[in-house]
Amino acid sequence: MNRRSIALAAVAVLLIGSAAAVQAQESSWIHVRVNEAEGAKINVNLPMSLVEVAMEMAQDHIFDEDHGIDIGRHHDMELADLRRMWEELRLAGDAEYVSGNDDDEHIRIYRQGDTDFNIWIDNKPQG
Amino acid sequence: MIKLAALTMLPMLMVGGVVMNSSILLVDVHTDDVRIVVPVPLSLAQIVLAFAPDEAKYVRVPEIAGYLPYFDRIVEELRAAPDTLLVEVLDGGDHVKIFKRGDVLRVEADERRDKMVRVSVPLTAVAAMVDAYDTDTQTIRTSRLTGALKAAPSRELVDVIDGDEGVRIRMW
Repeated sequence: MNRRSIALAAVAVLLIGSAAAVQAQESSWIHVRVNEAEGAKINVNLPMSLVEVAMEMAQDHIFDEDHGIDIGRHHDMELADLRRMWEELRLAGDAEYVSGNDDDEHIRIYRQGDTDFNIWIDNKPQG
Repeated sequence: MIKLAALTMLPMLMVGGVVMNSSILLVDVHTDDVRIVVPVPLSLAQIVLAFAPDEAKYVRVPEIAGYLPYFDRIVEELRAAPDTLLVEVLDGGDHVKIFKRGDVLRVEADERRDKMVRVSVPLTAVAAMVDAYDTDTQTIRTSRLTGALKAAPSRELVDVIDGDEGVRIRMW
């Protein structure tokens, strides 16, 4: 399982989840798809309100006062930063927030209508 | 003589009545050469638990104390959500699915061909667990959990197969 994909998905979920803690929209859903070229396929569909509860539950474990957010070995992000970033994204409205390719990965994060947030991570086959 | 027979029969009839009107938890355990099936009438289990030693009456679970306030909200959110696939992970030969069907959260995990786990978690049972939890002693009262299972809509609660061995728990 590609750690980078997981970390990216986790960042995106945190981003949206922490936003949900600020502004929960009833019946909003988050959809996460991760396709590893030769590995795992992950499909997550969760009501935003449930993500909000999960974020609150997990807060003690993933948010460290001294080190910020603990995702893998990265400790350089604060919850407040995530919330600010989310607020900016939210104001942008219905749009594709992130779309990118690198050598082995295609990432898309977009909002569809008022209720669906989508995170897609596709790994291309090697070589 | 008839009076004596009637008096002897009375407790049996009472127990029989309890059993007849009770949901039955059927525990089916099999290995490659042995199979044991134990039917447990839930009403009878509740009565037995009332007279059981404290170790059986109360289960200590300090780990969930901190999460208790969230469980009610999770149950509430899941109840409000439509029936849907919530999580699916496919990794090599492993396949895990978590979905909501009615008032039941269902977990299905298949590890290649010979290992399989199916667990149905009735949301009523989670809510009952929260009610049955004593925050002072950090224990769950087991008789209240069995009471919650009686109201559970699911018929199949647990199904584990590992090669030639397996455990199946169903409600009748």
